[in-house]
Amino acid sequence: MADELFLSPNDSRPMYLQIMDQIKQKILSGDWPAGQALPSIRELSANTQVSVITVKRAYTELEEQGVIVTQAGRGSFVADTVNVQKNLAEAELEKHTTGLIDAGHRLGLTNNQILAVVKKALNTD
Amino acid sequence: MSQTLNLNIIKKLILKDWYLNQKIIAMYVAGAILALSFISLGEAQFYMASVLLICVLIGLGNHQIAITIINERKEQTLPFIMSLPISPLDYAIAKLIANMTLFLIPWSLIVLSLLAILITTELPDGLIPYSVIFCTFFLVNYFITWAVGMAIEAEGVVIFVMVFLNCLTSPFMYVLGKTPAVMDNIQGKEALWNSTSINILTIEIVVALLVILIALFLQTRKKTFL
Amino acid sequence: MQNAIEFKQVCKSYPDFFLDNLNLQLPQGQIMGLVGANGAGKSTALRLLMGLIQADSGVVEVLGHKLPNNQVLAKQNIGYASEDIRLYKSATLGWHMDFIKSIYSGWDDAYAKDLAKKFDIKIGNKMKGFSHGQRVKACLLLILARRPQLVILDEPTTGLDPVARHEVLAELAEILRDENRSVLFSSHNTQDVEQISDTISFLHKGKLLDSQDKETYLDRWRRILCTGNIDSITLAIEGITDIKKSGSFCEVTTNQFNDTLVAKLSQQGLSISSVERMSLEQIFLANVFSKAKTGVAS
Repeated sequence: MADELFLSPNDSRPMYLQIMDQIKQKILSGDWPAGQALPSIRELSANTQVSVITVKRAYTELEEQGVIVTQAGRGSFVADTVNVQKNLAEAELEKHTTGLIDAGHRLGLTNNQILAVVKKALNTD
Repeated sequence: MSQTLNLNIIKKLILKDWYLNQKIIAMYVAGAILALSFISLGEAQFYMASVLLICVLIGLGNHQIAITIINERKEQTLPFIMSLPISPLDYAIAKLIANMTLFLIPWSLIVLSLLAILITTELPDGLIPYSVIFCTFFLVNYFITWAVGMAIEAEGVVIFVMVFLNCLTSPFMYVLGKTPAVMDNIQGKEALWNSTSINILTIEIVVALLVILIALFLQTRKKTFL
Repeated sequence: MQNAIEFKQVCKSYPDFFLDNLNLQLPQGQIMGLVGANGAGKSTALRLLMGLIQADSGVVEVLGHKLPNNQVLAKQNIGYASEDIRLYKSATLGWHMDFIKSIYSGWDDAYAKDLAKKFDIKIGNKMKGFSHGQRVKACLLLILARRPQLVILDEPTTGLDPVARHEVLAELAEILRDENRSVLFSSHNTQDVEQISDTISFLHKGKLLDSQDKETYLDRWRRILCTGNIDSITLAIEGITDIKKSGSFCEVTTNQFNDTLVAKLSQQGLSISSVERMSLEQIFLANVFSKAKTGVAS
């Protein structure tokens, strides 16, 4: 069933983040194309056995990120493909970039040294 | 305090108690029928059958109080009943009607059958007042035990009252046996109801009714089950 | 929309226990998980809701009905199951189903049979042959099949094997579909509470320590692992509930987490190794074992 999410209470991330991530995956992968109606909050809640408030939070934050659009009385829908997928991909890039920079700082590297690492990796590609 | 009774649920609760007790009641009634079948056949049979009848009358009342009241508390089916849309008063009334009918119907049948046998067979009719008073003794005991069971939650107290009242059977027989007004005509061909016999019977009935009314009154003042 | 449940300044005292001015609301359409150690007052609170006992003072309202005076009206729309409920041993599950069906409108026969299949319990079997887990599921079936507006459960998953627990949670989750139905359940199984509750309420020794929506509540708590020199001054930082030390390594527990707290700790000369979210079980323990005074209820 294309509507199923696979959530785990033992995942280190809080439940609402898991929900958000998996919904984003579904959008990125094309399972849920632009304009696709998302299950209602209560429906998803009952299907995944997660509290309504958690699903609500996930939907709210997805909307703030521009990933989905909510119309009062009609429900939530996947936002325009081009923008959504681009936004999601950009967010992924930013996450990795931040991770890279943090790791570099933890090793005690200066910004220039970090840039050098990136250049080296790009050249060997 | 105006409280409306939930007749529908009360009916269901009564039926429930009947369902749970039907086998037991049938057993005691069978015992009574057995006793009545040979009670008139001779002196030894009379005494044996009397003993059997006494056992039946004692068991009839106490066994079902044990099941419907004591066990319901002990086996914790009472919380199940308490979660239904009923008030403590509904519960008490349902119990009253259920227990009373579970006892009175068989009891009446037994007493009437006994009277019929006394009248139609060679057993002296003079036994009738004595028998009626004696059978009513068990009815009074039953009502008292019921009232105590409803009012007091301690299982030990209820059982104690049950046992104590039953132990009074012998003393009661003794006292009754020493009452000339009742005993004088016991071998007679006709039933003689004198003022003493009637008074004793009346007192028994009044005590029984009083005890029920007190128990019910106490229940109306209960707003919650526990 | 009215609250499904309201406790207003409710007090109830027993020889060695005192329910102290309980103020608690459950809005309609929500699930509330009630958490607390044994003897905290959870069962007392639930019994007050069912009209089984009467409060010494304060107001208890369920679905708009005041208890215990209107308990009959209230109970028509409540389904209640607790650990100390037993069914009649000599009767079958089917008999109990008919019994309930005859008392309440709203009994859904098809759903009842469906539940029996899902729960793997036999309708024709006498109750005395049921195992603990099967009995719990039977009681739940009798409640859920009539789709009551409010479901009150005292330890619904305690003592159940993982499969049974999963089945029970799945059925409780079904109630979520209907925004008019509410659930209050008390549980030691913090994972269940954490997963499925909208609101978490924490009782401890008769007092309500916290009652808050789950996301905010879990967001407030953190355990911060850091190294450095701690002294008692750090306890004075607001929101810290506990500090555990092992040499220069320590774990700080807080129930009012925000970024400035991390900054304050750094200012005190501590270097932060990690900031971890806490599971409800860890929060439970932290609450009970808390050494410092915590900031109290919402």
